[in-house]
Amino acid sequence: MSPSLKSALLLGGFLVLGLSILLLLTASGATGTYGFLEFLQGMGGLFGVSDPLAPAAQAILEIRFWRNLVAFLVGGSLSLAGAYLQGLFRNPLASPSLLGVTGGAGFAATAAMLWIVPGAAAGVAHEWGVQSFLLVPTAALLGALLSMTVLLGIGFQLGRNSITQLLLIGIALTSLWGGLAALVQNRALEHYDVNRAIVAWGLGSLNDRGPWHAAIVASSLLLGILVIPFLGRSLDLFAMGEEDARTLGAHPGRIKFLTVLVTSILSAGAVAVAGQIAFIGLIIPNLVRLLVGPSHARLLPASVLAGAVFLLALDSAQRIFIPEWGLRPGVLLSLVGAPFFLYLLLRQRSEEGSW
Amino acid sequence: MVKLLEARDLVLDYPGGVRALDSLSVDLAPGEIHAILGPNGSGKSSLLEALLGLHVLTSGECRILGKDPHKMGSRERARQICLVLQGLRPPEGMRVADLVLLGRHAHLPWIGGPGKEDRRIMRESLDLVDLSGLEDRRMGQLSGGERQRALLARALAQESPIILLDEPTSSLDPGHKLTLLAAMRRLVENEGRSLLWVTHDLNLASLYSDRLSLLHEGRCHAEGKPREVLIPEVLHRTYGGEFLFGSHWAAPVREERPWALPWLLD
Repeated sequence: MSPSLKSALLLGGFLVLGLSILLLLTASGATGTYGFLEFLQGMGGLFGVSDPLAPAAQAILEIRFWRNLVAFLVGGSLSLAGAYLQGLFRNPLASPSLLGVTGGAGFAATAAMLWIVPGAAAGVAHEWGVQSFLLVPTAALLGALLSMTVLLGIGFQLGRNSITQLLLIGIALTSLWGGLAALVQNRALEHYDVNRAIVAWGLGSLNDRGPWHAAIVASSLLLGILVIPFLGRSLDLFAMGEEDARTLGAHPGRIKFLTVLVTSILSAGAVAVAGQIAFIGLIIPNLVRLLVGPSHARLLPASVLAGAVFLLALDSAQRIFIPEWGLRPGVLLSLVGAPFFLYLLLRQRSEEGSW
Repeated sequence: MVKLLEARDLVLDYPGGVRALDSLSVDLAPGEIHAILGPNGSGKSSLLEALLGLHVLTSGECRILGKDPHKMGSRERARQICLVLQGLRPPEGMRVADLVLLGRHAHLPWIGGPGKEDRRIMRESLDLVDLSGLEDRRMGQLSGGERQRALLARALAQESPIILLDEPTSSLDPGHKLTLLAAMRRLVENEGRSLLWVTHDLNLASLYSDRLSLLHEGRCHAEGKPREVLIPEVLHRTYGGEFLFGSHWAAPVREERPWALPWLLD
């Protein structure tokens, strides 16, 4: 197959994907009580181009719209973060959740929730309104950065190729953060509302999302996308190891630092607005790699798109088909993700560590 | 003569007190093929890495075209010197073209991908190593010899006057060795590159190099033309054991070249 035909096919694929995004956005927003036309009118009302619907209908449509948008952006962020990390560690098993990054963000966010409501009684959900928009995401970002710094600090001390060790450190960190989060929860046991908020957050949540949530995760995703042209090429240089990258004129220290920073921001943004949603960053980049190959110039953008569509589709599907379950996105993903992880592990073993 | 590459009295200590290089001096002249020989652990790979400035030296100095590699930017350095490490395993799904284009990194702007000119150089490099037309293949579909030549093409695309190769032939069968060595010689004779390579194969080194350096425990035991290095006294001192010696007419270099085979006398 000629390269031009290939890129034409690839472009076609992206177009189809883009169209399905639009369809999903609208269909998922329009299912239920309101038809497609009402949906359009509601969106027009939201952005001030047409008269809004009746207040109740308008409110419901807007809630759905923000939910979908947040799902879309969070899916893209987590998937991109996974693609970055897999490139950096040269290992398909790397993902923000396995390396303890989301755990770090999770613990910090949990601690922040407790801190917002010192000795709080009822009405927590209302109280951690305005300020939590700043505090919880900030805490999540710091937690993610801290966790990543510890991981790299220990990991790169142990040697260049100790991928297994890095994953093991990640597991240890995840347990540590889990333990600390449990400690916080324990301290908050008597505050039913705080505890409920923490547990719900841990399952991932796309309920009651608003423009603020979308803005937070959109900005972290934007940052992650903006560095694709630089990091994409740099991570390709990492394909045969750090030392080899150096002979080609790369600066591994800078690339590692930037990748870690961007990945942490991406994870933190996603975790801050949607709670713990594991395994997207693991599954999606691996599937995308099978389709477009290991070159990051293609892999990274495709991962953003595929991750975004995937989470939106997953959330829409469970909302349309099993609405009575009220499933949180993190739950379904863990059910799918863990077996997929095992599959990758077995496949990697049979290929003797190459991917 | 101006030296492309010059290392004087290199001393390199690894953490834990292992001395990898011990007052070692090596140089490379323009248009030369220089082979580094020596037993396992004699410091051959450490030397290549030190020449590139990848290690902090205990003492001694390196010069790449008169410049200290530690003071060169990583991209500037990569335009002057390239190193193909031993046993590199490119991802199986990687296209040959993408692998070779990695060599263009030091010539590209900070952001964005390779352009038309880079693709032309990529194809030219593949032509030079006899891999014309394979650019859309995946690395997993290549033989070991083709993979090694693709890595050599990547080094060529780097367009550096100095090329360092760490055991490029070690995992290849005789046929693939031949094509790789032929490609190496073409680079020096037709492309004006200079080549420093590490190998365990005394006879290939003798046949294909203008000069040999024999390392032992981080020091240089012998240095000179093949017939000055492949002599009983030197080889015995370096490797122990006994060797059979002879020489044969090497037509391409119009010279008598020695050969040596390990031989146990018992």
